[in-house]
Amino acid sequence: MTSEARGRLALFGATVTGPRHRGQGHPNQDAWLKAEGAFGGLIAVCDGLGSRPASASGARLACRAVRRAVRQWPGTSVGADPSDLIRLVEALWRLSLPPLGAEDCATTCQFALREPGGALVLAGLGDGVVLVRNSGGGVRCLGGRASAAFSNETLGLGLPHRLRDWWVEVLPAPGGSVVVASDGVADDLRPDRYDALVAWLVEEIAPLPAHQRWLRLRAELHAWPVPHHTDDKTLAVMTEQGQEEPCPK
Amino acid sequence: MGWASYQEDIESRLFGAGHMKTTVACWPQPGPRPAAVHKQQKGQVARGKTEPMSKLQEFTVASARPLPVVVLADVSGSMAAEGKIEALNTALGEMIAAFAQEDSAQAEIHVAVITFGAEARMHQGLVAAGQVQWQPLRATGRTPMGAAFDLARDLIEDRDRVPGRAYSPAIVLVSDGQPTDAWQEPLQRLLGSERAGKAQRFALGIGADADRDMLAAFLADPEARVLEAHESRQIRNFFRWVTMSVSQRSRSATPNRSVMISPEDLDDFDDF
Repeated sequence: MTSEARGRLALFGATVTGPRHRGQGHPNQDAWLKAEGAFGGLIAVCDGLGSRPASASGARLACRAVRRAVRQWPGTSVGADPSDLIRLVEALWRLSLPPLGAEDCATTCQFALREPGGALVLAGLGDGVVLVRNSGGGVRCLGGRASAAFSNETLGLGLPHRLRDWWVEVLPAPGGSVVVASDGVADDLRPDRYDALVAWLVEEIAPLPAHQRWLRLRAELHAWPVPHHTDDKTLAVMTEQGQEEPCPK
Repeated sequence: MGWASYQEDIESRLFGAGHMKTTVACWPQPGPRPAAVHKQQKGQVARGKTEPMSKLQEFTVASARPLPVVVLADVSGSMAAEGKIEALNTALGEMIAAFAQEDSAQAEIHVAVITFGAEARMHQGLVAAGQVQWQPLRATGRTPMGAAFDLARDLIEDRDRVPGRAYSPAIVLVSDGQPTDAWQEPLQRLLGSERAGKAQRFALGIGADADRDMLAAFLADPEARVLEAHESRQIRNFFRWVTMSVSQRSRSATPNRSVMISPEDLDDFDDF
C-alpha cells in the first residue's frame, strides 16, 4: 500500500435544519458545497429565502452554479475579471431553474475560491458572512447584512438587485483559512470571537477524520446555544492542511 | 486533483430534511449521544435550551434576537387631569409584564419608553421586558414631540443598541394634545431613516384635544387607523391591542412582518 499526498486543502462543512422548519415539517433551505478541481478549491453556502416556495432548490442550484462557474472562469492568473465570475454564477443559476421561476427560488450566495496559485477569490450576495484568517492569525469578516437591514431582510439571487450588490474581494497572498456561514450562524456570532471560532474549526475540527468531523460539526450546530434560535444553520471551512492518506493499489 | 465530492452535502441535506430520520448517525466517541441527533421527529421543535451545550457557546451571543418596542409617551401637564397618566402607567405596566411572560416567542421583546413633557428623555432604556423595573410616569410641562421623534430615531439607528440581528421595531405614540415644538422635520427624519422607517407604528389620541392629523402623519399609512381614547379604560384597551399585535409577531414564523390584529377582535374592545 502506498501513501500519496492528496493535496494541502481541507474542505468540510455541515448544515442542519433549524427549529422553525423542523417544527413545520419543512426541508432545510440552506445548502452548501465543497469541490476541488483544476480551478483549485471551492466552498459555497447559499440560504434560500424562507418566504419563497422553492428556495431550498434555489439554494442547491446556486451552489452548483458557483461550481460550474469556477470551472469556466479563467482565473486571476490570466487577468480575468472577478465580476465576470459573478456574471457566470448569475447566468448559470438562472439557466438551471426552469421550470421553476427565479422569484420562487430566491437565495443568498457566499463562496470562497482558492486558485491553484494560492489567490483567494471571495464573493457574496445577501446575508451570511465569510471569515478569512491570514497566515499571521488575524481574522477579517466580509459580507454580512446591510447596515440598514434587520433580521431576515436580505438581497439574493431571484430578488431585484444589481451586480454591485455583490461584494467581491481578491486576496493575492497564499495561505490562510476561510469560513463561510449562513445568517443562521452569522447573526449570532460575537465579532470579538471570530478569531477563536476560526481557530477552533481549523485546529480542533479540521484534523479529525472526515466522517467524524462532519458528525461533530452537525452535533454542534444542532445544539446551537442561542435562546429562541429558529434558522437553518450552515458552516463551510477551507483551510490548508498537510494531509497524507493511504491509497489502495 | 480529485472529483468534487458531494457525500457530506447530500447526507447532511437529506438528514436535515428528515428524509433519513430512521438512520441514526453513529457517534463514534465514547459517552452519551448528543440528544439533538435523535430529535428529527416531524413536528417536534428542538429548543436550544433542552439540548446539550455546544462548544459554539464560546463564540455566540447569549441572548435571543430582540424585537424592540419603543413607546413615545406624552407626559405633558394636561395628562395629569382625569386620571389619564394613572391609566397610562397601569396600561404600560401591564404591557411590559405581558411581554416579559412571553414564553413561546421566536423573539425576545425589548422595551424602551421615551417621554416628552418638561423635556424629551429616555425614561426607560431599551432592555428585555423581563428586566424592566417600571418607574411610573409623572405629568408635567409641555409637549416636545419633535425632540421625542429624534430620540426614537437615534435609538433605532444605533446598531449597538438595536443590532442588525434584531427584528424590525414597533413604535407606539400616545398623546393628548398638540406638539409644542417643531415636529414636522423630526417626524420626516424618523420616517425617512433607513431603519426606523421600517418600524411598525401604532398611534393613540387621548381626549378631544389630541392632534389627529399629526398622529395620522406619524402612521403614514392610509389604511392604518389612529385610535382614540376618551376614558381611562380605553387607554388600557389600546395597550392590550398593542400587546397582542406585538406578541403575535414575536410568535410568528416571520417576526419581521407586521401583524395587526383588528381592535374589534379583542374581547370588550367595543369602544374604538
